[in-house]
Amino acid sequence: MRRLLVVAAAAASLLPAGLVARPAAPASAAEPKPLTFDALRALVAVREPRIAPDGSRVVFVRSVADFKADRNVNELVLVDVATGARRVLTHDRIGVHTPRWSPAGDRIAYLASPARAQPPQLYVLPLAGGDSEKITAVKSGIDTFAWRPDGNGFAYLAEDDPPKTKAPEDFVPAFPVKDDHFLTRAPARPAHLWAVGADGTNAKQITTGDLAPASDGTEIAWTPDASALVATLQPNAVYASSYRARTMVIDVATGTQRPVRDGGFDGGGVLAHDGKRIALAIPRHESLDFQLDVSVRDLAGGREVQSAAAIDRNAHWFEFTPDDKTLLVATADGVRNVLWRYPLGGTPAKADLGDVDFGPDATLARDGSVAFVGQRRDDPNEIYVLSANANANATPKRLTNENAFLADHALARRDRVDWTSDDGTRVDGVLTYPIGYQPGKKYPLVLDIHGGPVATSTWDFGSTEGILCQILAAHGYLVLQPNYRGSDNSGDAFLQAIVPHVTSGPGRDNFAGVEALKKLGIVDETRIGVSGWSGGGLQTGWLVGHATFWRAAVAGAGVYDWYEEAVLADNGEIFPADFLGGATPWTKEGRAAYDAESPIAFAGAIRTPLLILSDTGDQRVPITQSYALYHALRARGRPVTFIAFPRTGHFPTDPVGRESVLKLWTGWFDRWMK
Amino acid sequence: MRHHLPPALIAILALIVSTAIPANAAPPPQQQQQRVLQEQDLRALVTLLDPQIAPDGKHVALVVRRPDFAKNKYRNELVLIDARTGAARTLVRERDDVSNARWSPAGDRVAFVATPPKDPDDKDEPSPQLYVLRLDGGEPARITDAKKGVESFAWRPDGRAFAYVARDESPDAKRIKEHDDWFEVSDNAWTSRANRAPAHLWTIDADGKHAHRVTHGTWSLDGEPAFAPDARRVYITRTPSASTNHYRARTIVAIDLATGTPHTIANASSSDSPIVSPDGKRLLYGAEHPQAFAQSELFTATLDGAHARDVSARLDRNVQFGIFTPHDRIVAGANDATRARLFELQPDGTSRTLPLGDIDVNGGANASRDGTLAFTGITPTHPPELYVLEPAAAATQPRRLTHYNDTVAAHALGRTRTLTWRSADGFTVDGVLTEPPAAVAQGKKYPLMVLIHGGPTATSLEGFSALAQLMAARGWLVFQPNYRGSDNLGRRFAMATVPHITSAPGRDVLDGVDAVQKLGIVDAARIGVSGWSEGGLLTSWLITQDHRWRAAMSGAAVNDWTGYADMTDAQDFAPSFIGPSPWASEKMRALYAAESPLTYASNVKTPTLILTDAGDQRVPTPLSYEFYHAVRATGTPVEMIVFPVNGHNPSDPLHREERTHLWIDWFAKHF
Repeated sequence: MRRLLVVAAAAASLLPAGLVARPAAPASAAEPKPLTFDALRALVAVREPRIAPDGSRVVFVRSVADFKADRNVNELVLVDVATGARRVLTHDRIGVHTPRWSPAGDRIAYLASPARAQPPQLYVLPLAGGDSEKITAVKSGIDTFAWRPDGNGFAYLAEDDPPKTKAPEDFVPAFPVKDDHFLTRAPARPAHLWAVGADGTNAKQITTGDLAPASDGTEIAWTPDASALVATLQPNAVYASSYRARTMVIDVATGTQRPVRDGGFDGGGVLAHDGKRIALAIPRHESLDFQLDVSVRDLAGGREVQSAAAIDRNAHWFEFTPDDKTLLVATADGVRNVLWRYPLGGTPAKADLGDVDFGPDATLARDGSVAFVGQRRDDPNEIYVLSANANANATPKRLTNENAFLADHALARRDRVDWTSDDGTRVDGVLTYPIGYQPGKKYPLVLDIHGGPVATSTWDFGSTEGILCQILAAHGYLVLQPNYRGSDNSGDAFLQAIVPHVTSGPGRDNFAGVEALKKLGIVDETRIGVSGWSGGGLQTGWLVGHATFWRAAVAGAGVYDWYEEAVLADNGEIFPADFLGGATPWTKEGRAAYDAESPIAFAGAIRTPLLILSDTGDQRVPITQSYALYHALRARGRPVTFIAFPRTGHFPTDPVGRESVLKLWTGWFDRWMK
Repeated sequence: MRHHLPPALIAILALIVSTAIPANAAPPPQQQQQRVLQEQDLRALVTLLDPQIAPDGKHVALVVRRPDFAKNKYRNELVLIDARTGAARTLVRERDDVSNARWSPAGDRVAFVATPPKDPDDKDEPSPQLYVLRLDGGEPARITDAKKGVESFAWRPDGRAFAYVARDESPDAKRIKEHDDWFEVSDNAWTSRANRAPAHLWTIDADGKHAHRVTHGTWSLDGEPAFAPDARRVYITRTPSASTNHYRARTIVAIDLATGTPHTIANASSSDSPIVSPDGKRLLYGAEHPQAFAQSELFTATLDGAHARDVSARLDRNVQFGIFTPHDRIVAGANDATRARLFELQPDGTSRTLPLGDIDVNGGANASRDGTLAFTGITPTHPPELYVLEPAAAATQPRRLTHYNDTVAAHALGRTRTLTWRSADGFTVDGVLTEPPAAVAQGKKYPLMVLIHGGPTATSLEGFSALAQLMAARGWLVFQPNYRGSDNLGRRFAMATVPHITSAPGRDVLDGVDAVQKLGIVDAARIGVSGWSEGGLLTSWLITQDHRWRAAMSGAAVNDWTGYADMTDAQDFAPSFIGPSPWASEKMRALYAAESPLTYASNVKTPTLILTDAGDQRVPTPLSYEFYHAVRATGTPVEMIVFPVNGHNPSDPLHREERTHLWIDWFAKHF
């Protein structure tokens, strides 16, 4: 799932990664070291594993953090599946991403910026040796691309150039806005599909008009005969139009487009290898805000061949096996990320991958072996391969060991817990125990609540929230991450249970979670704190407005006023309306429904010392709501501190910014709860 | 006082008028074939700033600002004008931001502030520094090397040194350099991306040697320093923190140059930069009236701050600046009905209106040792020019020294006149009516544009308004009401908006439009309403309360007072005009809502254009988005256009021109 308030769902990309400075192995079995922010600077993120067509090698993006320059530094790494031997393919390339094997497996194409602050261009690296060749020079850069099936060309998506005027180059005329978010500084520009030869010549524009690639991202796929392209496109480039994105088939010769199916949103189109069928993600309840089921359809005509709705989990990733007879689907399930095999015409089965969680970031070779980012409870992310020949429940083979340094550190135990909410709803979550936990002792408790709401806290190490939990555990706290109603780990009914009580419904689940832990006798009841980012900030604002037992709270990028979210955020009016049961704020009753689910309406009851965090340039949850909550508390003389990060986006993506958020977050609990 | 800071209110349309707008030439008796003013004619408009008359009265230093449309920026030059002949020569060129020119006490040098060119070897952007230009030849010499720039300065009375105000490096500079640049929000505007560092007092010899820091602390200085006659102390405005957002928290302090200790002279909030009388015995400063915060008055005190006296109490106008004349008389500049006048305050508290003819003073004024006053002014038919007024005995009216805007003035312009009406509660309210350039024909009806100024502490004048003239040139009547809260009728009128910051002025505008319609020349089917800032607020409110409007343009409007209070940089505004905080009580929340157009948005039936800057720190941009969504939901035609710039008004020539065009074009389409 791509949308949403959520931050932590995009786990891999948010990992604080660090320069790898692998400590020499301790001479003797020393005491494990406590995990610190300094130690975590060495974290390495791996993503985009692309397995070669013959299944012999995997190329992936390895990302470390340069704290001095405050940026993430990427390189492409090639690893041999049989031996695990690895070598770095790119050097000093800026912002390398999107590696793609040529159909013959003799070249790797990727995107990178020719210079800092320049948009990405397409490069091709021959595996017979030699430097990469830059194929494109597109002014606004390349969004995404695909090899032509014959390996002699590419299709790519690129935003149009800004219109030429007589005014100075940096002059942007005033422009009309409609569903644009409140920080918009230039009109959204359409992007178009182009075809280009493998050597960069004969660039030809295929599409025209206002269409833009889906704001949440799209892949481009060629049909096997190279006559058509498949991509998810939306009517215009304004973010809120992503609700109207659809999978389109585009004729390469004429540029004419047709949707695969009639109806509203669909996306994530994956072509079957025979080019006759396509798998689409289709929302079960009209809007892409809700659970996406996979549907296999005829490419011609759009008739549904098979629905994978029986999996009844929100689909994060899916792919056909090489024989097109089985669908692989990645979802959350309980507190784990899992893989389902769904033989068409059969019944879905969850793969048993042992202690490895299946990150929704994977590719298949022609022989059916799968390369994926796997996560474990004590292991943020590594590259794994699941061999095509192994039996169904074979343990995947781990190819990398990028975060070996963690073995020298004390890591917290993380377990699944579950409880029943006051209305009978079954809820689960992840409980992290403090380092040095001793049964029978009581510990201060911190809630770390995920955003979304359509997302899941999983027990693996791998997300920003997982790191936060490890640090809090190192500081002596129990941490509970509740998967409240609306989370995408338990099926459609559980997800839909959040409608229309988008805030108060999850609120009761979270209160019930605290009560359940108290009954275990492990919580120091005088020291309970609550925190979260985005949808978790919303929950935090709500929970402190509805109980005074909280000792301290950290609310990051929270929705405190659903009305403001509707009129200012990039999601537009649709997102709040979806979760508030279709209500709009333009009638008295509708507005009352918005207010009733907004923490700002209950700010007067807040007594808990609150740290408010926000990015100044957050288009998803406008900082305006943090200003309102801050003033509402300050005017009443309540303890509140508001810290802003001068960043664009919903969560800092730079290493220093990310670390700083987590330091302030843990520091606030240490200040009030130690 | 020099440099009166406009009360940190909402955006002020008057400012737009004075900078972006010209007037026309004296109408020749027979106007044959004169072209009416068109938008592109305004490209020729020249802005005149900060005239400074030499101590001997022989010259005036003047900042002349011209737009460069190719580069989309304004360029300043410092020009020396001969006070007798008007002959001009450029003193400082190619320093586009030259400002703050100040004569040395002996009149042999001019000091100014400008930004040096970027040094390619230096990573940091250059910041403004103090320069001295000798008038016996030679290029300006740079005096300071202030890391974060010089904000203001004063010559020491002996002419051999300066006091200046320079901003500190951020106390978090080290952390910020390491990219760990978070900041704690307190009274910030929603656009903040860092906290300001304090500004402090320094001294330096006139040859650039011995830069010496005088004050330290988390408090800060604002405005221009003034030396005590013995040069041991400096008077200046102090703010309790680096932020100026609590603009009413200013005090005036005397800073002992030896110790750096500040002594409070006046606790008066929103105090203005103090000056010392020529005889060295008195201080003069501006401060809000103790019972009427919305009106700034002139106070004198002895040098130790004792014997403070409100010397403009009987004048009872919002004083924009005050100066001493050589004989220790005080001249005050203030709006009065629909004129901007100069008043000489008499020892007995009465005042004499100086004979300015049809000139409205626009900007400050100052006096030479012989009592000659220099100022820039506009007339109903002419954009800003430089004028001098010789001492009372010698002159009966000002002399114009410049002709920068003759081209613009040469167009056929609409006649302006003042109109008055009675409000239900007994005020006589006024406004300016501008007619189309071709005289109004009996029996003919004209479209009416209601053009509402911002502020509210501002005034629409009879003097040239480019926007009103462009609209009149389209054949429209243009009505600019000085609703209550305007600063043209005294403190009772200025305070009559409290706490009904929207509805009370709004009713004055409606009464005024009724009065105009009674003239019998208005086409009732073609009445439009528009304004920026508080003018936008009133426009938004008027279209929720009345449906006579054919079209509306609501610019940078305070559509919601709670959002405004939470997010504006003018943190004292809403608490002063409405009440403590919308969060203080349910009653306050209700009052804030009652005065907010957003509350009534479902009533809107008028086709409306919403304009705003993307990064408006004064009237937060989100308030425009909110109104847009709410009106759109009613089905009423509404369009919103965003200027991708920071600030409360576009500050570059192209976006200003665009704004004028969009504003007028919307009504041209609907009339």
